[in-house]
Amino acid sequence: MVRTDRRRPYVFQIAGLIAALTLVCLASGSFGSLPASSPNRIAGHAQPTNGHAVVALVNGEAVTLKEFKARMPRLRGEMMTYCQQTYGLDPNEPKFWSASCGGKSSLERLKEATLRLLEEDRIREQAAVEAGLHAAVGYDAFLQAWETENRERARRVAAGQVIFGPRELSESAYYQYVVANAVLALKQRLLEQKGETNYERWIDEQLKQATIELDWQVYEKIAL
Amino acid sequence: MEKRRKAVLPLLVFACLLLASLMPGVSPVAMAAGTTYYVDAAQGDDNASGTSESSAWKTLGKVNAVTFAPGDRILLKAGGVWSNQYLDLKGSGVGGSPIVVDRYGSGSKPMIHFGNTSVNGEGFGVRLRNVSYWEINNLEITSGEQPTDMRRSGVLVVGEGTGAGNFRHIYIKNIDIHDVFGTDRRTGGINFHARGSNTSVESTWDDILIENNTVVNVADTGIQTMTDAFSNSGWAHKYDAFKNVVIRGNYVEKIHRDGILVRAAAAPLIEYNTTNAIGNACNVNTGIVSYLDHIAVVAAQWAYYTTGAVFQYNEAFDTRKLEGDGQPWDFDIQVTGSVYQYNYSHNNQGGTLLVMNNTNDNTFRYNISQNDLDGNGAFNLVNGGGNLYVYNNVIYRSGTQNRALTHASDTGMAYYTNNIFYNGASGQYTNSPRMTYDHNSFYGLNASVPSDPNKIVGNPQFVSPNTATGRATADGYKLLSTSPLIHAGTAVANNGGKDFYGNALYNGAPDIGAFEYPGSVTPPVTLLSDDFEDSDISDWTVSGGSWGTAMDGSLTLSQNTPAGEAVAYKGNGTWSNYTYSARVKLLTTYGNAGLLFRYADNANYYLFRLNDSGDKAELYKKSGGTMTLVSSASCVVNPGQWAAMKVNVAGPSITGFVDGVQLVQWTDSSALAAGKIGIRMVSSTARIDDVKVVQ
Repeated sequence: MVRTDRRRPYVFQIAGLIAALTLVCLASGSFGSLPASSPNRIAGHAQPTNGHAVVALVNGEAVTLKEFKARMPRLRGEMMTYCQQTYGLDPNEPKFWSASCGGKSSLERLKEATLRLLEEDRIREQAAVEAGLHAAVGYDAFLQAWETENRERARRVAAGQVIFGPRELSESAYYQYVVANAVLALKQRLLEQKGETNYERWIDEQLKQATIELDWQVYEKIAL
Repeated sequence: MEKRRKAVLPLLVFACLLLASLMPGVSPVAMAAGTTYYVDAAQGDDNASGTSESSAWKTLGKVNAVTFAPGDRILLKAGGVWSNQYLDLKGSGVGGSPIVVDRYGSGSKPMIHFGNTSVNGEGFGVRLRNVSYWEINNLEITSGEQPTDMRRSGVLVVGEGTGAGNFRHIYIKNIDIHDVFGTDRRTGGINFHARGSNTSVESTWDDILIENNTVVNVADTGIQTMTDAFSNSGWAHKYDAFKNVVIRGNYVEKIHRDGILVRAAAAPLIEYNTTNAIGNACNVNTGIVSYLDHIAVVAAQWAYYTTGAVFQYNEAFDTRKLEGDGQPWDFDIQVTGSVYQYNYSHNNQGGTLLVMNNTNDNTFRYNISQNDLDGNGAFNLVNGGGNLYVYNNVIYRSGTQNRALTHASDTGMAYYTNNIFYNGASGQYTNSPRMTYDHNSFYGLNASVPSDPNKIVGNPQFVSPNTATGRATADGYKLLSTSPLIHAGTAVANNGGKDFYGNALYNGAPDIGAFEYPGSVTPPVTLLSDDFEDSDISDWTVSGGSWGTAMDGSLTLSQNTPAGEAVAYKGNGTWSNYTYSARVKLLTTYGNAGLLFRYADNANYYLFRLNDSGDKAELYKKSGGTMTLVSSASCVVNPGQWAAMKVNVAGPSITGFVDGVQLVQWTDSSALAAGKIGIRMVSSTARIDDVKVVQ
């Protein structure tokens, strides 16, 4: 369907993020301004420096560094278009990503958009589970399901059996496929269980109400 | 420097050919030894030679200035981004030596962000104009939401103007195209177009491969082939502008118009694709992109002016019904001799299959439709259509759908055979002189409506239906071993050789539905067959009554004494699981007659009988001498009329049918193990014919 107001929500989300961040900082004191003696700590646990480092927690479920880096490249085009059209930046310039795109760097905007996308992923997965639907929660589970899917497809094709759709799905195609099916199933459940007809608005609501804890030290180090 | 390199090259080629000719079994191939060019968006320099990684070019504009030669490769550096640039490629390869665009290094696919750029008023990420023998691989192409109203395509392959003609070998592989928004329908993700007016040279293509691409959030059409021959009376290739087309393994989602649309193609193959969210489905800010066409009708994966198309192993879901249509599959105008087979559709708003006028000899077989929705009936056959063969499909509905599950045109014939219609909703069936039914299974409401002389009514006994969501298989639509649909279908010639699961056809008599029950059930063996034409009943054991043969149309087994219990049995006491059928004509009003099975002796057997006292079909168990009624159903019993009775016993499960309709189904937790078959009646006379036992 055609949406008329695609870009605004993430602006609100940043405000919400700052608010949530502030609240959490005040409450726990373990995020944002970490004690200098334990730079990698998150809620008392040591942060790995590899892909399993937790960038953020969404209602307690992790968004990992590996996942963040997997989802970020696809949003580059959108950000390049935006910063060029709105602020006249040239994406071919090597300094494009560090240049100011309306007060924030293009990279900063890209990371914010990626974070919002992943928050939405966690919310949707959690809502699906709550609605009694099968859903892989978190990136490790997603990767396992992806590998299993491709292995199963290959096995069936080798055995002369019929499958439908691509014989092998790329990670990004599988992501689209999982999200599309999850949204369809969730929309139906929302209608049946809550009489909810506006899925987008409902997701926005869940996002606003979510507890989002950001590990600033991990987050700020993320680069392209 | 240049001169020296030229001298070395032929020597190198000669050496390679010599080496190749020395290898056993390898015949020397005269490959043009092309040049490899490297393009590095970050570190490259257009003034460099471009022929090594360290002397890479920088911009796509530099690439566009070169006319390439057979065997050349243009490699873009992984992780690189080319913004407001596009590839407009020149030169042609030759057979065996195409020109290849690909990536080098590791990282993200090279990204072409073509923004608002254009050439002669149209934008594209990659254009192959009037060229042959090109392969484009491993790129990301996007343009974003651009305000200018113009045509845009991710990959545009066009023949037009001076240089239009007959082109060969265009391969588009592993390209990720997203967020490209073009005006009018000659735009979109991957777009082949023979362009021109009636006086222009007509273009055609032979050997097209579109494989493993993703096309997401694109207007207008996902993947298409098109020719202006439709509006140019002087052009010749309305039906075959595109030959040897393979569209395989693509993932297409959130498309403004149609998903995959093949026009003017001869025998194209469209397989292993997935489409979803088709029809006004872009995620786009219409404040910026204000020029998208108004769309009335879409279908997901279809052909137009095409013969011999094969659509197989595809999945389609969430096709939208806008003002009409919205089906996943569509035999459209001037499509003949084409087939949709082994496809899976679900949650498509417009139903399952559209068949337009001016179509003929098309086949829809071994497909599964799980809860396609109710915008149209499951089948929509527009008036003016030709012959259509619909067989061995599963049409499963379990919601609130109430549109028709079958349909016919007003011309041609539609043949529905061996299909399973699972009507867990409230759909109706069509009967018309322009359609026939044969050996279909109908479950749920209105099953009595379709005029199928060999129908089976009742639960098809799927393993676990309605579970094929988001998985690579539809195993839930396999039949349980107790399904009455196994071996209950009729053979269809030229059936494609395998069922939805890859099982060879047929394993004995065909099964109804998309699943041919494979080898764990041995091909059916006829254990017993008696039509009484030899007028010999000495192999039957009789007790009570007076048994003989009588002419009633043909010779039949006849019991003539309407008093007491009369029994006749035959067969082998070790028979355990089988299907026993016979035609029975009860002659006594208020009487009864039926089938004995697992008859061990007179104190232990099952009986499935017609009872004219109360119009019932009754299932009895006699165990240790005690007779118990275990199940019964209403059944119109007409003394003097033949009724086809059938009983299936498999393990503890017993199913009884009268005239093709399943009436009783019972599971005996302490089942009788085995026994012969027979006939029994009490205080009645009756005739029996066509006794058959099949295992």
